[in-house]
Formats: sequence, structure tokens, C-alpha cells
Amino acid sequence: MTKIMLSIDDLTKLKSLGDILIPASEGMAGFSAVSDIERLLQLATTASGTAPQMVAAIRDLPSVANLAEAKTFAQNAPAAFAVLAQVISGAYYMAREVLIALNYPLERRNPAGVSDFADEYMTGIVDPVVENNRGAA
Amino acid sequence: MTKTQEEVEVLIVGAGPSGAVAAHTLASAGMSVVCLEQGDWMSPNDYPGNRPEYEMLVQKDWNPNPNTRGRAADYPVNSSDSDLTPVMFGAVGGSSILFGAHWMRLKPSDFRVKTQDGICDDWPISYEDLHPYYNRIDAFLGVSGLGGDPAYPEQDFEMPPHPLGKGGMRMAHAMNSLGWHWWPGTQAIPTFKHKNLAQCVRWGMCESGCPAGSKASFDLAYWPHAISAGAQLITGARVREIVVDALGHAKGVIWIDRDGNEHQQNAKIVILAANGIGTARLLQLSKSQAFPDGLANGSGLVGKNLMLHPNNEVVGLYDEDIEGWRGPAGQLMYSLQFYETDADRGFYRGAKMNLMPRPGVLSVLREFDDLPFEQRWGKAIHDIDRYAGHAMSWAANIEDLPEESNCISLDPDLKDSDGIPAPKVQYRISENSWKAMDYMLDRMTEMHQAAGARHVFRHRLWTEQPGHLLGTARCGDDPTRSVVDRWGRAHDVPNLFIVDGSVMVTSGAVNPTATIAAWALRCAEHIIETKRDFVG
Repeated sequence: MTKIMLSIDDLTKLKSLGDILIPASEGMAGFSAVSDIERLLQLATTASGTAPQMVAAIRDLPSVANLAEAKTFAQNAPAAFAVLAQVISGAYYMAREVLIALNYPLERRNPAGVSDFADEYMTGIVDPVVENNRGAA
Repeated sequence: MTKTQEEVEVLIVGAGPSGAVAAHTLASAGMSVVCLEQGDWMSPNDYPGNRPEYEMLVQKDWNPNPNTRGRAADYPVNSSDSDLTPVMFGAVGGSSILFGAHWMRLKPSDFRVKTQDGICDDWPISYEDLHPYYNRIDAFLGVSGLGGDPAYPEQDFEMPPHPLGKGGMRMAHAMNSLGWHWWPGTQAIPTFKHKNLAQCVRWGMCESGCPAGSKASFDLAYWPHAISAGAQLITGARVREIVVDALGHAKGVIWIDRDGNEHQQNAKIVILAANGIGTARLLQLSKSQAFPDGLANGSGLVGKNLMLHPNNEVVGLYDEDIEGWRGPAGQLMYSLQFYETDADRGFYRGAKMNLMPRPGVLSVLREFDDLPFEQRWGKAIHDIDRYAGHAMSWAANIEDLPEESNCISLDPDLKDSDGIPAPKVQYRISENSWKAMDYMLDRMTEMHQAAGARHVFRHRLWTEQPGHLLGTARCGDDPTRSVVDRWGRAHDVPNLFIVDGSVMVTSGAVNPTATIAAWALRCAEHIIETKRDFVG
């Protein structure tokens, strides 16, 4: 994995594009309003494995003021847009506050309870399969 | 200069599932065993699943495609003439590091397709021959599942299945309303702690390596026991060639270590466990005066009849909270409703279908990539990101029929990191398979619709297949029509055995690792029973 350090200029450009692609909405933070977004951008960039393409894409990223201009950029430079959009999305959707807003559990250890399957089984959910001998050759 | 190692009784090439089972079985019987593995040990701490950026990591460094990963431990594969890109992983445990641990037995009909459907060939063994070995492997691994599936002969499991959860229960009701077969998923993921495997915590990251150490990848589930029994495992050891003696018996192998030094390891018995591509490649690399067309290739079938199991998928997005982030993934359920040949459908054989959760946010958003820009980005993104955690995927594993034109050969140009010719894959999806795929795509769509999906996304083909590498050194009783016999012994080389998926005569439509492991156990026990033939 090649680690690259995004410069302040790089981060500024990415946050600007991020705010256009992922603006605030009811219950959802806008891109650059996400706490720690700069660290997450660094993390996403390194993890993407697209460091050389990323450097070039940021370098060639024009000033984009609104969604229409972002669309024009995506049409003119689809490969560069894909790399940038992936990192921007990756950074945003790994943020804790975003995952909480999407009802994702932050505690990801969810071992099954001893009787969890038994409780499902006792509803009779499997009975029609057995009673009708479904799937028998 | 080649360093020659002390001769052992058994040499195994490859430390994936079949190599692990063979090593454990033979070492437990007191035989001296060395296993050579090109990759290294993995650690659950290395896997991306416990990191917030995991969805980014699986796109490159943890991609299932070895060409995308580009690790030195993997060899590259030229798939430019193939409809599918084979996936695999070079490490102790092999591709089980990344498998979904769907633990399915072949059905009895799979062993007699010629007799039943009049196509392909029958296996030289039956389901009943393999049945006790399936049972013993299941018990060793702590396979979880529910007995009583009417689609199978009697089977039982020590561990209960994983809960279906909200999504699984919703789909189970839908399947019942359709009147179609389904059954709770059988998995090589113990529900509760089993030996050195931790309890599954349902992270849903099974296919990028289990960060909890719960999934029965064979580096965890088998190798510690094999080593305790006395097997020696050498990592970073890439085998270049099998050498033969004047009698045409396998004498040992030449292998290259991480520093590029060459070694020769001799053995009384050589076992290949390098998967359906690696084993064929190694046999083709092992040409000699006695075997000018490659080792054990008197039938001309080494490398031919490659079967890869085309897969396709229908993703359903639901308005209701179905906890699509909850694992294992793993299969919540499977369906064998359309497994057997039905002449009315217009194709032979069928598919196993499995329902899986879709844990990641990005993987759900990607389903909307074909939307017009304004509906994919800007404020509209929050109309679609609400489906994160609301997704389930039905995938169909299509039975791949053997065809000699689908094959492995040595690439004239592409080489691995040790300069050894890489395999070239020539593979075309047959008309029969396409018909089956399109049929299953429609059925999976109906399943999601019956369950009330708001959006349904149909993917006609996964170009990166699921890692099922089968058929390139098929077994059989006729030496002119097969490479190995019913015990995995090469017809042409009496002390050479093959225990991986290469031996499969037909592919069935289920995930093959349970069958590969059972076959390896059966072959290894036969070697023990007949070892006087080899070691005196």
C-alpha cells in the first residue's frame, strides 16, 4: 500500500468537490462539515490503492462551483472523476456520525444469542419446506 | 546451486484446504510430511474488515483477483481469452482466507450426470462413498447448519445455524409464499466457539478474511492441528517442477525460496494440492523425456475441462430495516429449487442460489451508478444512501459443464515473481450456462419482488468468478479419459496424487470446498492404507 500525504491545497480541492457531490441534507452532514474529514480523506486515499491516479486527478481538477460543473468535469474526465468520487465517498461513509445517521451499529460485534435461531425455528418458518418435501430430487 | 533436502515420506504442494487436510491426516498417522506453500501465514489482524476504510481496501490490496492485488505470493493469471477472471489467494489456508465459507455438499445426482441426464461423465465414486468423509470434515470444522433439508440425504450438524435475522426471515416468508425450496445456510463458520475458532460476531466481512478469527479458513481450522501432529510447513516456497526418476516415479520437487535460492525436496509420495489452475500448471511445467507433454498427461486431459462456476446476482433494496450489515456473509439461506435438470427449462442441470447480506455502504451506492448524474450526486445522494443497510443479494452459482476447450496452458510471456511461466486461461461460457444464468436471474428477481424489494438490480454475470477452480485433472477409472483414479492417484505416475478441485469430473452447482476437503481426507486415508506400496 503506497501512502501519500495530501497537501492542504489537495484537501481544499477535495472538500470543495465533496461539498458539491455530498451536500448537507436533513439529518446528514455536508461533506466538509464531517468532523475529522481531512484525516478520513487521507485514510481513504491511501486505502484506495490509486495513489498515482489520485495525485494526477487532484492536480488536474478544475475549479468546480456547482453540480452542473461537476457533471461537466465527470463527462470530460470520467476516469479522474471516478477516482476522486470514490475517495470522497469512501471518506464520508466511513465517518462515525454518518454511519450513526444511517442507523449502522458502531459496535460491530454482534454475536448470536444462544436461542436466536431456535426462536426463529419455533415460529414454524421451515415447516412448509419440510412438509412439502421441497427440493427433493 | 540446488540444495537437496532430506527425503520425507510425503511431500504436499499447496497449503490450502486440501493440502491442510492431507497433511493433518498423514502426519497423524505417523508419516513424515513436508508441505510447501508459496504464500505466508496470515493474521486476522491483517484483514481489512475491522478497519473503517475496509471498503476501499478490498478494491486493491485485498481484492480477490490476484492480478489486481499484485502480491509476490500470488502468481499472475492471463485471462485475456477468458469470459471469467479466476480468483485465488496464495497463503497458508489458500483461497479459504477469502472464501465465504458456504459449506455445501454435492448432491447424489452430481456424481452420476451421465446416467441421469445423458451428458458429461459419471464420477468413479458416488455420494455414498464420500458421505462419511463429509461428516468427519464437518465435525472437525464445527460446521453450522440445520439437518433435515429435504434436498439432501440425511445430514446433521453439531452447531446450530446462524440466525436468519430480519432480512432472512423476510425472505424465508417470501420463499414460502412462492412455494420454493430454501434452507438456513450451512457454513464453515461455527456459531459458537469451536476449538481454536472464536465465536462468530457477525461482522459480515467473511470474504475479505475474518478479523474475528471465527471463520474456518484452513490456516486456523486445520493447520495448527496438522503441525501439532508433526507436519512440517515451509512457507515462501514456490514449486517450479516435479522431478521424476528413471522409472517414471515422482522423485520430489524443485522449489524456490524467498531469496531466489533453489531447493530440491525428495519424497516417497508427492501430493498436489495447488487448486485447479496451479496443479495443472505444475504438471505442465514438469516436462521430461519420459513425459514430454507434461507429467501424468497420458490422457492429454491435464489442464482441460476447466470449470469455473459462472455466477450472477440480483440485489434487492428494501424500505424496511433488514439489518443488511449483519453477518455472516456467509449465506443466510440457500435454495436448491432449480438445481436439477428440468427439460422444460431448455438447459441441463441448474444452480444453487444463496442469499447474502450487503454490509458496506459503498457497495450499495454503486448499484445506482447508472443513474443520471443529478440523481446520483448532490442532494439526491441522500435519497439513495438511506438504502445502506437495507440490501440483500441473491447470487446463483451455475453448474458449469466440462468442455475440453476450456483449459489452462502455460503463457509464453507472462511470468511470476520467480520467473516461472504463469498460467493462461482460455474459457468461454457455454450456451447452456447462459440459458441457466438468464433463467436464474429471473427467478432471483421474483424472490426479491415476493419479499417486497423497492429496487432490484440485476447483474447478469460476475466477471470475477467465485474462486471455484475445477476439473483440470479429472478422476476416472479409464486412463484414456481421466488423469487420476478414484483414489486421486495419477494413472501414469503411481506415487503422485492429486487432492484438490482439479479432480472433479463435473462441477455440481454448489461451493466445492466441502467436497474437496472430503476427497482429500478419503485420498489421504487410502495412502495410509496402502503406504507399504510406497515406503516399505
